[in-house]
Amino acid sequence: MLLEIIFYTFASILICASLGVILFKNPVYSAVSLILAFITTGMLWLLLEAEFLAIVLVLVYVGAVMVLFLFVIMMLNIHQEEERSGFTKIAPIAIFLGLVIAAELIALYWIQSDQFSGLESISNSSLSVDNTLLLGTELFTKYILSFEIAGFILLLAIIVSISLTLRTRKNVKKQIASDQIAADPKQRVRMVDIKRGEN
Amino acid sequence: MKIIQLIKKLTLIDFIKGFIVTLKAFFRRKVTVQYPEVKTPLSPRFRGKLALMRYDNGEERCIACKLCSAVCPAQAITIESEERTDGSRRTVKFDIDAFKCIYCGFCEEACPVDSIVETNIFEYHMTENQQRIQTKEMLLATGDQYRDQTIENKKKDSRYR
Amino acid sequence: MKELLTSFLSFLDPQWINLIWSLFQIAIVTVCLILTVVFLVYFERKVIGYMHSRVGPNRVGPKGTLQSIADTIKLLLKEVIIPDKADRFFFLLSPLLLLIPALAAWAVVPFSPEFIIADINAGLLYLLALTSFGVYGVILAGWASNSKYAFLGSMRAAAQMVAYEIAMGFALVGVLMAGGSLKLGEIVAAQSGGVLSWFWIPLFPLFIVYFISGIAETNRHPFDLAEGEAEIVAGFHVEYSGIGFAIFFLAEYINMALISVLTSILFLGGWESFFAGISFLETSGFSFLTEPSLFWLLLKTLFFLFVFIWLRASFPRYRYDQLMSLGWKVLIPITILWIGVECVMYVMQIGPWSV
Repeated sequence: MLLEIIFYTFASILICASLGVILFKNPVYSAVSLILAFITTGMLWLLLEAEFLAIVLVLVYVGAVMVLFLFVIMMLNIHQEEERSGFTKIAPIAIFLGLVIAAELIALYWIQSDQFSGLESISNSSLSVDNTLLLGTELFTKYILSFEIAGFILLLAIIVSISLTLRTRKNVKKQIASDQIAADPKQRVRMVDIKRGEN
Repeated sequence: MKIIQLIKKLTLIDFIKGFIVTLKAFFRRKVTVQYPEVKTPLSPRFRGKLALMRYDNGEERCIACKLCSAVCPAQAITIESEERTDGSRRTVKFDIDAFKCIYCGFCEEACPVDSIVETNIFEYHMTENQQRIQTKEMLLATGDQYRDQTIENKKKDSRYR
Repeated sequence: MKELLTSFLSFLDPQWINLIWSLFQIAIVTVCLILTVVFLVYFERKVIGYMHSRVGPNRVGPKGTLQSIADTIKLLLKEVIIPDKADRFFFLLSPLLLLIPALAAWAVVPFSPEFIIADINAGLLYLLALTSFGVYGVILAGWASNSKYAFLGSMRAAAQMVAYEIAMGFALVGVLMAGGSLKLGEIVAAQSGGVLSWFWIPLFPLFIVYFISGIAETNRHPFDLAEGEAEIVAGFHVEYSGIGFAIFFLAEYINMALISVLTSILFLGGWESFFAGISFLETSGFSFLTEPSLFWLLLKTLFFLFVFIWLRASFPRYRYDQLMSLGWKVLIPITILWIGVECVMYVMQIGPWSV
């Protein structure tokens, strides 16, 4: 009973938020709806006892990616009318793609319907094993090679993006606090005795 | 040199020094004066609210020479004068704008008859904008109210003038 | 307590009783937190006053103890002003977006071996997720205010929080490696014993980094560039008045208490006593000194809160580029280096943990 209430509440919030992402005129509102959608997705995953994935979804997407998204949206100050103008042109393609995805999901459910179960199984199945531990053992034993390759590709992406955007401007006048603190008066000032009459 | 700097940075020595300074202050004797109950002593030279003084016989000292008005850097003093029936020149209007006044004390120094003085009253207020204009009556009333105190203060300070 | 509730509401499903029990616990913790904030505001003003050689607030109530209650009443009675061109929905929502994660994070904080609202498996990750969530309140408040200063403050806050989040996460990685669990209760249990068996000795750099990035996360001095008074007036909450401002204030202090309590749990052994493991005390009549209890956790938390305020009284604000370079170029490399050192220590079996 309690579980059903929670599930249907979050599921309906998720649907509303997803619609909000595409229907809001203000891009900031769309971005915040997307955040809400991520959080409710995380909640639904929590119901399936996938707490590691749920929290990582919130941590990565809500905590980091969407912050930067919002940052950019607020900075750019997008003109809403210009964004809207291409809507009618794109709409048929978008609807077609949506239908394809829906068809794929339905087909998947239809083919493997014996592997899916209703809400009842959620409350009954209690995965007593630590989710994080299980994922860790799988990743670091069975899938170690693909995991390492993925990590390496990400590292490469970081290095490339930094080296593409990094440009050091020459002749920039700025103070370096640590150098200032490290300054030694003995090296800077030379005391000279000048006798009267000389020079 | 660099290595010493690095060690200094990593051990946060400078931060700890800063912390010790404030911690010492934490236990130091507190210097707060509990103002309305306790007041710091005022110098006799303290320049507070302005007042107009009288002679002992009750005649006002001011002779409307307008020296104070001329010397006032903030131009806070407005004076209008007329001749009295006994032939003496007296003010009919002596207004000080308390918002303009900067309490510099030049008027007191300029006054040839020691009429305008500064008392050591600094706790006064007004609730409406018009009240900033101190009229002649108000100034004389202030002078009467704090007469003894003001005279005593001026006597104490007279040695240094 | 729970047995009493169960017998009283025996006609209900156990699920519902659990729900009511959780709500009851949440209410207790929330009320305690708000009282803590009331105390903390007074404590802060008093400590800073003492560090300035002043006496601090001493007018309202005995020794000024009712000062923060008077302040609260003042803030509650003030008019709430919503700027004309502001985005009303987010303007009103964003204080709550800051307050809710601040309160929700306390769900996984273990106060004592018995009392913890939700002992979830991924407690540490949950904390990281929620502390990172708080930034939305700041960003949206700045954007919704439709003011340049507020917007600049929120931009600064966003960049700062993203930067320090990483250092904080890496510090926590070190803790979970040492504790061998993501459950906060088990992390404390792994530190059982005296002062020497707590994680602050083997993980000392991580301990410092965690606390520094915690200060940066809560936007406190000397990292409070989001509300730098001198250059951007009050930053993201410049347009807020009355209750809106009060909620920002409340969230800031709750976050401060959260960082303090977490530092004591993760690095200073949580509820473990300072004197645990001293056989002389355990055998004599002072065994109550060596027993773990809530008191020790509160004591440690109070110490870290004092350090928060102490920092505020001692140091000037960082410049923004210095803040960024401190986060990215100093704190993150230190954590990564120390995680490497910890791996070596783990393999060599040096340290309080066992494989």
